[in-house]
Amino acid sequence: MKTPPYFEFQSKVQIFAGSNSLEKIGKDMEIRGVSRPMILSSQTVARSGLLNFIEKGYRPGMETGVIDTDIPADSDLETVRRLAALFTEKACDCLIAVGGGSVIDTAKGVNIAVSLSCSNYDITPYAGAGMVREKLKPLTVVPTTSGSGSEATIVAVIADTAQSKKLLFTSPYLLPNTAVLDPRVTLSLPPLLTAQTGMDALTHACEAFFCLAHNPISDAFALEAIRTIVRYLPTAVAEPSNEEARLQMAIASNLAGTAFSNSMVGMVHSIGHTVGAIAHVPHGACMAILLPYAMEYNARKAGERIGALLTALGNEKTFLSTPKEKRTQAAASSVRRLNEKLKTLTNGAHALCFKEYRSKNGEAPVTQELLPRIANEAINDGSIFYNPEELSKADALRVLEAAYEGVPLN
Amino acid sequence: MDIRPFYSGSKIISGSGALDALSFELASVNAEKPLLIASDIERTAEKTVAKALKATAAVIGGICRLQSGEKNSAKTIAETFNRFGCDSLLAIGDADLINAVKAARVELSFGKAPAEIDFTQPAPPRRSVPFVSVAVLTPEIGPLPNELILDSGACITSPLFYPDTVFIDPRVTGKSAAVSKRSEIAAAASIFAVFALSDTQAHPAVRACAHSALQQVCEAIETRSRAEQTRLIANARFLSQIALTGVRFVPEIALLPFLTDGRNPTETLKTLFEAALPTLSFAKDDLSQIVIKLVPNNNAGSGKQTLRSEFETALLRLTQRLVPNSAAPKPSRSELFKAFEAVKESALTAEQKNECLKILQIQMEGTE
Repeated sequence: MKTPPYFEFQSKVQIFAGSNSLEKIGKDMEIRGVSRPMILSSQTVARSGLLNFIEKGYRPGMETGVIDTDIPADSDLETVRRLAALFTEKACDCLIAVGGGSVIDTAKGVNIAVSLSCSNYDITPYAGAGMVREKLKPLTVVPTTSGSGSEATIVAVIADTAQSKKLLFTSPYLLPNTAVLDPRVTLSLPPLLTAQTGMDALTHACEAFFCLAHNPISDAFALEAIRTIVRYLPTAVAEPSNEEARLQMAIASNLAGTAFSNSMVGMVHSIGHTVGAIAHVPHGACMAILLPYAMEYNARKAGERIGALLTALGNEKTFLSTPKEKRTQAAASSVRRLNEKLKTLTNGAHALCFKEYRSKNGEAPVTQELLPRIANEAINDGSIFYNPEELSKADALRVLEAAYEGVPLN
Repeated sequence: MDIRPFYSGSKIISGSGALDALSFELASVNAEKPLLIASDIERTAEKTVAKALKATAAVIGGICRLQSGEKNSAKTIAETFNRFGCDSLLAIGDADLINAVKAARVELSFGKAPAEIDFTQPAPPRRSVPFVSVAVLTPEIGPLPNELILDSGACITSPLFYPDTVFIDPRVTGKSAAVSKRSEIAAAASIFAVFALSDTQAHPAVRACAHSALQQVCEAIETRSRAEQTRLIANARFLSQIALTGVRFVPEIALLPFLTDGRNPTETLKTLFEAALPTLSFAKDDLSQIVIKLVPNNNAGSGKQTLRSEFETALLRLTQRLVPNSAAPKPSRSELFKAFEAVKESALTAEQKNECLKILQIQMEGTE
C-alpha cells in the first residue's frame, strides 16, 4: 500500500467520547470562552431529557440562550434566517447541535449568518467551495445516529426553497469545533435503524479505503472504523441498551466520517443516492445492499486494496490465509455475512437485496422497471468521480439487477 | 468507558508540490502577507519556500532569521511581524524555532506573553493570526504540536498551539540540515508510535495515527529516492507526534530533557524504550498489525505469547536497524543521579515525577 505522491488530510475536531461526554460540553465552552449557547435539536431528543445532561455540565455563569427544535427534515435558508435572528435576539455566543444531518447543517448555516454578519442573515453569498474564510463561532455537535459522520465534515447542504435548489457550502471553517460521542444519545435507536446507519458508516470506511483519493492517514482511520463496526454493530443491534457497543459505534462512525471526508466515496453512494431519491429507500439500507457489489465491480482496478480490507473485515490471519486472487471476493463475502447476521438480528427486516426491501407500509418501492432510470441518473452523481472503475449506464444497470435479485455480480 | 479526548489541530499537506499550495492555503484563511521565520541553518529550505511563493505570485511580508538557541526569539518574531505589517506566520525550522513561533503567535493574538495566560480558560484572542509551518527533518525530540515550552522550562498544552497547516514537501525535507540523521528521526517516530499504542484508553484515532506512522517508516526503509524517503519520515514524525498528544503521560519521553546532556537523544530514547517494552500493554489487534507491517508474510503468531514475543523482536530489530548500538555508553550512575535530582526539582506534577523517578531507579539498578 504505497503512499500517494501527494495528499492532504485534516481532522480538526475536538472529540469527546465516553459515557458522560454530554456533561463535558460546559468545560469545553469555558475553554473556548463562551457561555450562552443556542441549542438546536429535534423534539424527540428534547423530550428524552438528554439536553439536561448538557446543562448539568455548565459552569457558573453559563446558561442556555435558547433551545429550538423546529427544524425541517431538509435544512433550508428560511429556517437559517429565523434561527440566526433568534440567536442574536437571545444574545447567544455559540451553537450546540444535537441531532442528525439536517440539524447539524442548519447549525452550520446559522453559524455563517451570525459569525460573518450577513445582511438580513442571507448566507447565499457564502455558498460554494471555500467562500467561508474566517473562523466562526464555536459549534459543538452531538450526532444522534451512528452513521452519517456529518460531525466530521466540512460541508453543509441548505435548501433554497424559493429557487428549488440545494446550496452546497464547503469550507474548513464549517468543521465543528467539538464532536461529542455519548452512548446515551443513541440508546433509543431501534435495531433496524441501528443496522442501516451502521452499514452506512461501514460503507464510508470501505469506500474511503478503496476509492481513488485515499491516503495513508484516511486508510488508517478507515481500517480502525471497519474493525470496530464488524465487532460491535451486531451487538448494538441485538442489545440496543448495550452502552459499550453504542459508544464504539459512535466512535467508528466518526472515524469513518473523518476518513471519507478526506478521501471521498464512490459508486455505492452514486447509485445509493439515486435509489434514495427515486424510490425513497433509506440511505443506510441502500449502502448495505450495494457495498458488496461495488467491491466486486471494482475488483479489476482496485482488487488489491479491496482484498486488503480483509485485515479489518476479518483479521490479519484471515487475510494471510486467503489466496491473493480470492481476497476481493472474500472481502465482499464478509460484508454479505455481516448483512445476513443483521437480517437475523432484526427478524428479517434488514434487507439483503432491493427485491426484499419493504417500506414501513409494507410496499416494495424498488421495482425492476425503475432500474434503468436509476442507472441513468446514478452515473451523473458527483461521487462517481472517485470510483476506481468507470461506470457506464449499462454497468450501473448490471450492478442494480444483481443487487435487486441478491446474487453476486461475478 | 472513559476514552481520552482526541484533537489534531493541523491540516497536513504532504507530497511533491505541497509547497505550491502555500499561497492558496494562506488565501483560504484571508492571509496574504506572511512573515517568513527560518532557522539560519535551513537556508536551502528557506530559498525553496520563497521560490514556491514567488512562483504563485504570493508576497512575503517580511523575513525573520533566527539563530539556533537565540534568546527572546518570540519577542523578535512578534516585533518583526508588527514592523512589516504581516498578517500570518510561516515557519521553517527546528523544534526550538517552532516553539518560539507558537509563543509569538500567542503574544500577537492575545497581546500577552504565554506565561501570563491561563490556557485552561483563556479569554477570546484579540485577533486571529494564521500560522503555517514547513517541515524540515529535525532530530530533536522537541515539544509536541499542542505543547509550548516556556522560558521557565514549564510545558503548557493547548489546542491553540497547533500550526493551522503543516506542509511536508520532499524538496524541503530532502535538503534539511539534519538529513543525515533521518534514520534516527524514523526510529524516534516509531518509538513514539509504539508508546502511543500502549495507552489502551486512548481514542482509536490515536491508534490510526500511530499505525499510519509505522507504515510510513516501513515504506521509507524500502524507498530508494532520498527526497521521498525524507518526506515519508517527516510524515511519520508528524503522525507519531499527533498520536502522542492523545495519550497518557509517557515518563520515558518526559525524561529525555533530563538525560540528553551531551548525549544523542534518540539513543537515550531507544535505551529507555527497550527497557520499557516488555512492561507495556497492547491490544492483540495492534500486535498482529505491527508484526505484519514489520515482518511481511509472517503468520502473526499462533498464540498470544508467541505473538507478543514476535512483536517485541520485530520492534527491537527495527530500532536496531535504524539506530545501531553505538559506542556511546549508556547513562552512567552519576548522570542518572543528576537526572533524578533534576526531575525532583522540575515543574512536573507529583504523580509524573514519581513515574519518572521509578524509571531512573530501575536504570540505576542496572548500572550496578
